[in-house]
Amino acid sequence: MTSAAIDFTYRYPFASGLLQSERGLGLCLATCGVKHDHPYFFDGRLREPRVAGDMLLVLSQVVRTHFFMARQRLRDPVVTSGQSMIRFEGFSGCCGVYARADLPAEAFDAEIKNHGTTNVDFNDPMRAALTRIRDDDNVRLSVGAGEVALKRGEESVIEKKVKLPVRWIKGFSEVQQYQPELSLKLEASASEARQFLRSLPSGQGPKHTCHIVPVGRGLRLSSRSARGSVPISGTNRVRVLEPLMRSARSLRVWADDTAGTSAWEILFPTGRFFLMLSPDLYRGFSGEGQALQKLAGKQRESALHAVRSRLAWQDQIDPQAVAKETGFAVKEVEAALALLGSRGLAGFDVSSGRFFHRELPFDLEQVETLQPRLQGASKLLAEKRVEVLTRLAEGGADVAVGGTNVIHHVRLRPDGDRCTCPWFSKYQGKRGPCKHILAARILVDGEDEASGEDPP
Amino acid sequence: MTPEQFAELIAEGDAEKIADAAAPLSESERRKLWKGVPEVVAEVHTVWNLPPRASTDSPALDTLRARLGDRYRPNPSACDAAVLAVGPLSAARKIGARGDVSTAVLLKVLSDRRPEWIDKWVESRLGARFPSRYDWDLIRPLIRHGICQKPNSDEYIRWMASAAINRWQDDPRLLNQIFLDDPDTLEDVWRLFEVDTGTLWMPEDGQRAAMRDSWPVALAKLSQEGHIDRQRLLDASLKALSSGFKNTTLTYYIRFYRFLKPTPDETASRQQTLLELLPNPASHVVTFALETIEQIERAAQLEDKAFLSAISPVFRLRSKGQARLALGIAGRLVEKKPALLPHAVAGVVDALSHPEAEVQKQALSLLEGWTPRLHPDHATAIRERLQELAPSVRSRAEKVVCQVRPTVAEPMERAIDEELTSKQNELAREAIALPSPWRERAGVDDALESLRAGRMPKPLKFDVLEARVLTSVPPIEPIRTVDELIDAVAHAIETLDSADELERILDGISRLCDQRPADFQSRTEPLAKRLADQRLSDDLARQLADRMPELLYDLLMIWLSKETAPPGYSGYNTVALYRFFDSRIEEVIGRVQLGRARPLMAAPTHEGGWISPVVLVRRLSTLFQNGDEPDTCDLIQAILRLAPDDREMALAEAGSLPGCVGRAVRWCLGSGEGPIQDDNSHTSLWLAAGRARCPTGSLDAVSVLKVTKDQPDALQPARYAWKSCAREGDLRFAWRHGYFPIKVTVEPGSPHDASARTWPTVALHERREHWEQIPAWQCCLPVAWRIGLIAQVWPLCLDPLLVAGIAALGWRMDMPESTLEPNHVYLRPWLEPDRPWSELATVAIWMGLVSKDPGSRTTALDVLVESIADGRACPRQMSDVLLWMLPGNWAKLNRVADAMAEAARISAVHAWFAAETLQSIVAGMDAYPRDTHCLLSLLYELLTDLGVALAPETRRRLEDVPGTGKMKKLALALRKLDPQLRSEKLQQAGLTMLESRMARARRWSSQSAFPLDANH
Repeated sequence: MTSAAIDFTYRYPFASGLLQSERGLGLCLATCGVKHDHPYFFDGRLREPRVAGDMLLVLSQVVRTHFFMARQRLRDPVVTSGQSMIRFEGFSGCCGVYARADLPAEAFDAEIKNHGTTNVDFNDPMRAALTRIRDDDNVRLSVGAGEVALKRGEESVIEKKVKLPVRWIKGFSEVQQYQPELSLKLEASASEARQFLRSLPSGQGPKHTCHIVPVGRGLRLSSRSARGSVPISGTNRVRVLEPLMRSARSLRVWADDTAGTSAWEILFPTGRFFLMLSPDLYRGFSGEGQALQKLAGKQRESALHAVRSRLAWQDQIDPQAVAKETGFAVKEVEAALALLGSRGLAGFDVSSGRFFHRELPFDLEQVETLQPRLQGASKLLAEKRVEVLTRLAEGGADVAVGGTNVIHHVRLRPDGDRCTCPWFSKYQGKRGPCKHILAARILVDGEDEASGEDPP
Repeated sequence: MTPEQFAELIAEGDAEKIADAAAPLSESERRKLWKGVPEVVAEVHTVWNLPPRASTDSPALDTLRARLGDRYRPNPSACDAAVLAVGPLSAARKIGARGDVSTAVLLKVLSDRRPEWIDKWVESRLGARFPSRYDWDLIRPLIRHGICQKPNSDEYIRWMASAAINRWQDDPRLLNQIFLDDPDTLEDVWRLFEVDTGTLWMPEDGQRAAMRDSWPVALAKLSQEGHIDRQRLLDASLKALSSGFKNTTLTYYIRFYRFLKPTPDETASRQQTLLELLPNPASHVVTFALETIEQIERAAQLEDKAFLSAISPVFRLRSKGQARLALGIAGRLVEKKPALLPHAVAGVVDALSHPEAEVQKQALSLLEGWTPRLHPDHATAIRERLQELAPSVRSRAEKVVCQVRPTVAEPMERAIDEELTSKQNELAREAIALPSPWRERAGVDDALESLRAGRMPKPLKFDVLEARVLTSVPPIEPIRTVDELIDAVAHAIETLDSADELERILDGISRLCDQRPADFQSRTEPLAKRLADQRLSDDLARQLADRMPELLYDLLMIWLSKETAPPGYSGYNTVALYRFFDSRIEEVIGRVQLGRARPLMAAPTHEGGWISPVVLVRRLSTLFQNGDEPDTCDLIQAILRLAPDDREMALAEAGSLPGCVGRAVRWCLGSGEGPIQDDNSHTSLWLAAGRARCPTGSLDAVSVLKVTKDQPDALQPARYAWKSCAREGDLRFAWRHGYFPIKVTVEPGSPHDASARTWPTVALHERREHWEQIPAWQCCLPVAWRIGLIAQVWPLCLDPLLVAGIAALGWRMDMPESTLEPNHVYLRPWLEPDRPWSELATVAIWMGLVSKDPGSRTTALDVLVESIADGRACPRQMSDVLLWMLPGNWAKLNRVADAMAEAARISAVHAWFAAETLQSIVAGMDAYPRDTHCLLSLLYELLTDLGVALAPETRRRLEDVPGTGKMKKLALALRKLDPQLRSEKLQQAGLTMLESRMARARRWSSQSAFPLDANH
């Protein structure tokens, strides 16, 4: 199941590129939506073209790289044109690195024409051209093209047929689940960050998880944790940021101590670049199953529909405002937003601490139906291999769930569910619930719902 | 034709007949014939290499054989023809690549049929893992005759490139002739520059390349003969360098471009493309571009402005060669045409951000020359980079800034003397108030005195028995409930995290084995099943690396189900140390079987295997009060794990412990009541007590007992000698011929007494039969928890562990890290601030520092950084050890310099330490290896930064540096360094060292916050 892939064709009306025109250089990005439409979002002059060029280059590097195997990927980044922000997002081939370049309205001399999310063509000649952009260049950025330009380019349609692994799309969606849990750990000036990045070992770095620790006026890689340190595995994943440091203002490092994820945010005078790493080099975000519990529960469907109907390409979604509009509690709205995030319908911005609206330009329905653990749980329920043994007064239950030649004992507790299966024993819930816990939860919560009780 | 007749044709094995028979058939007739084919084909593939008369389990074929008699000769080639003739795409895709079938026949089959799926089939053939000549001979004609479309995919190009090279020997044509014979392919050759086929390989030597029939030679010939455009060929090979291909592939394109021998005009006309290569992430591509641009510049054909505005990205590369080349060209251009200066400055200022001091110096030299014409904005840009500049460049850069924009410069020197003096006085008052003897032991008095005398304090020397180690290592929380125990065991069955976790589980089972909740059976049934399955598993990784001690399986099975597990792998039961572990587990098994729960004496109270002496005494008291007695191996292990903390307090409480056990425990805690002759039956206990009392001394008091004398770490401590062995070939293959960079010998030699099983300190030294350098316990792959377990046998003395660690680190010296050899674990104990550096530890730490293995290097660097900060590291000891290592010629000085530079950037103390160590190394060198300049260069920067001059002995040594090269220049520069009257950095470093020692004294003198109850 993990190798399941969806055939996808990027079909662009022309090849993206940096073209010389009467008005200066033009960075024209070709677009391709989920139904092979070609939206036109934006056309304006970049105020700091070198910074934008560097950000797009690093983003493209992340998208093209598989960080622990020598494989090159042909996937492209996606761009979201929000109300006052253009965000470019990408996900590495190994599913362990998520990158986003945020360009606020102040970065342009123009207004955003349309809103939406689409794939954008990043090709080799364009990458090479991006490296040559200088700050004193007059560069216009256009995302998509008007009808005239589209017609003119009809003969140069670019097609890239790729296989999008389900785990890649799942990871791209699920990575949003981790971001609300991040907290700010470290800050460094551009020169300190530059020195730190240069001090990182070449190659993939140490195999065991290391830690970034503050030292003196900078940062260093250490083999053991310290107060305020940030765990990291696969230092090559951070080294991709090095080209950005020459024009950066500062670096902020975020981390989630429980999940072991870290996020690296590079701040520029205008705009920022965000890079998020999975807990382990060899373990991508996909398959983590953090969202499974939410996907399994059906009780939030009504809040979900209500919140979804309020999405209008906001750069920041205010849960309180949405709660006021929909009549749901703020917590329910927040949970619905998190669920929308895991379905690829919203992203999270750590800096503002808010979700933003964007819809990944892939067939997301397929992804949800291909969640193997969720499918396994449904199968267990359909085969009636789940039986509630006892229900506890303080909330929770003991459930027997059929496994391979053995009955697993699932304990549902308010402080965390547990199972006796090998998978849960190994990961201890750090990679989301196993199919046995999911099946037990669906059964017990379903019965609670039927009886009108609140599930724990 | 009926399906039966068609099946007969397949069984006859004549592909041509099949082709002829299928030729006139329509697509619907073919579909009808397909009906019986899959079964026959499947059976043919099973039996085709059996003798014709051999009996098979193939009913369809058996019938055909009976019917055909001598005509029965099935073979896969005929099957392929049949499948292509009548089969669907799904079956055609399964045809393998074989050379034994006539491609002409298959070509005829496909030409006659012209299946609608032919394009998809061709694509799938090209996507095969190993495209072959078979495909080439079949598919090319299909394309040529228009039976299928020419594929547009990269696979087609890869396949074309490799198939043409790997053609059969029966094709004598040269490669260029093949393409001339099939002119349609001439257009395809351009895609060899767009797809990474790896086939453009050519040697560095162009002449040698010309002697081979290869792609580069063929392309060059085709171009010479006018079949393909030479200019396009030159452009394509340059364009390919921007493609993001593998570095080796890029090298081939560079060589190919040079192989074409472009004329100066051809090169000059491509300078825009060459400039576009400057931001390339591959350093060798940038070198090529710059070297070619330099040729253009020397021919006075370079578009200077374009070049100057394109050089900035060159300075992003870490290596210095490209940056220096770019700066050289820029300097010459401005020298020739001063008007170009405004175009050059931005790029040159960018070069100041380069990590190499040499590049910074070169850039600054240019800027110094241009100072009168610099704009104030340039001064601001330089100022922004001041912090990153090497100390030897920084002051020069500050001068440039001041000259260009005096208002920008802030006063760089502040009156901080007063601040430092006041801080020193304050610290002195606090230091004096610290309690004795902790103040003296932690080196506070020495640091204070040194500070007053204006020198740096001596390195801190202390005996581990004088330290309070439990104040710096985290306590271990024991397993409290059966629920917790079940969860811990379930996790350990899948993955054992650490030796601490193993001990927690052992202790948990020992204490909780009499508790069985009502649902115990249902909750543990899946665990018991997994245990039984794992025991029988032949999974290699599990067998070698991740497996728990064998008897632990038995213990868990008995605890879970009162049954023993089926016998499994038992590769290490002959090793004395593992027999000791087994004995400990057997003791627990015995009690679990009887349902007698009690705490394990040897359960560590703190990480690293340490046991608080007070806790052990209380555990023993409780045990004796309950009328019980400790198990032998459990008690031996417990005694060997005793921490040096609070031994006096423990001794005071141990007075009531009865018998020989009581006397042994009291003796190890410091009483004068040693063994007597009647204690002969408890020799192991007294030996363990002796080694806990005095880890590195002679145990004369134990000699009254019957103990064989020539055993390491029995009556006498083990003595270690080591030598650096001359490098033998490539270190990456050292293991093949048994080469160890460092050989450690232990005296007395490998233990031979059978009693070593209960003498763990001796068993640690047991050697493998043919590998003197490797301890016997390394017979299993050294996964992290197992190394940790060995380290916990005798935490007071880790030199026996280091003997193995030094061998392991040596073998991976020039290799990347391996998950199966986590060598960094050997170094981790020295992260504890109360573990002094032995000589072997210094050797191991150096090996980690100069290793290519990033895990070992990072941990060794951590150890160094922490040890400098807390005063354990000694510059003289480090330099002496390195000087003894250097004759082996395997320790690279650039790696030494890198490690020291990395440590030096932490603080002034670290910078001083690195400078001191480097000075001692340089002063002690008998000869100057070629890479000595790396050390001198770093030393120069450090001394400049600290404001300190060379030590007299180093100065004398540098007087006779031979030659006129880089080393000589650095030696001269070092000798010219003037010391500052009063180095603020050194003063700051002295204060930091005093603070660190005061912190240690405070920690050692503090009351233990750890609950000293027997349940720990």
